[in-house]
Amino acid sequence: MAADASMPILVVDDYKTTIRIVHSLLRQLGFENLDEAASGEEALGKLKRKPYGLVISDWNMEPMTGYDLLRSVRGDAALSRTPFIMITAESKTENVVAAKQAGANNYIVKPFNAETLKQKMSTIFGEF
Amino acid sequence: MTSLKRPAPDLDVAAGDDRPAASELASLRESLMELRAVVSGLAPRRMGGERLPAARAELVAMRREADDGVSRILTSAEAILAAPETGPGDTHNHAIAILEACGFHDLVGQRLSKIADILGTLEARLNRVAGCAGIVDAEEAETASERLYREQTINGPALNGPDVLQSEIDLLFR
Repeated sequence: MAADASMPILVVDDYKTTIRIVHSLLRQLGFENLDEAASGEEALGKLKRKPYGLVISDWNMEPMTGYDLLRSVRGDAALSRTPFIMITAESKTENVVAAKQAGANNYIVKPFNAETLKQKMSTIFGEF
Repeated sequence: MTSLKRPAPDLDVAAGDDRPAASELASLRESLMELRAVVSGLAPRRMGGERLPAARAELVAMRREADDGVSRILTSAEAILAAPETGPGDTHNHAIAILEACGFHDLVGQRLSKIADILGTLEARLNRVAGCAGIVDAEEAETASERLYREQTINGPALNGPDVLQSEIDLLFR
């Protein structure tokens, strides 16, 4: 799967600041088609209305967590192949294992930098 | 603190078969009085009704002020990134470093929320204790910092920003 600079990317976080940071970093990596959602429910609604090339989601959200969102995405035949990166402060091994088993393509622990984001995206899309 | 298991004092009750029961009751009464004194020492009404809510309000204000500050920093960093590189050519790299550093805000916010939740739970439990019959807050001595604030009428930053705007102060000094 190659990274397409025009692919829509959905960033999900209940912290507006984090969305702004991730969007800015993605723009620096050459991605301009960026969207956002402040909750798992909002994200799921957006995903069902339009296809996204990548979802980058926080874990800690209420009431629908990023983990719940991931399971919903993987459980929906139309969405199940959407690349999904979990980006969270949860760094316990069991969380990482749970996210991997639920089908996350990668997992980034906050705080992170632009290079880490690029590396994790490269594992999905190849070098870009 | 004295032990709750100390022997009961003699009571003016009938002797004989009733004596052990009376002794048990006296012991229980003393234990309850001691427990009430300990709980009163926690000042549950003051802690649950005033101090913990005030502490939680400070945390909320802290988070709001951090939000405002980080938002202004991000706006400046985004403006730098939106403009073409000038000068030595590493301006954008510095702006990205600023963006990355702003990630602290998310973690700090989550930690503040955890503390606020714990204080909220403690507040609810103390209020429940304060509602129990016969519990009265014990008198407590003023702390050194409380005395300093009272004597110097210093209260630190107001929760919702300064009560008096700088422009109003400037008018007073014109």
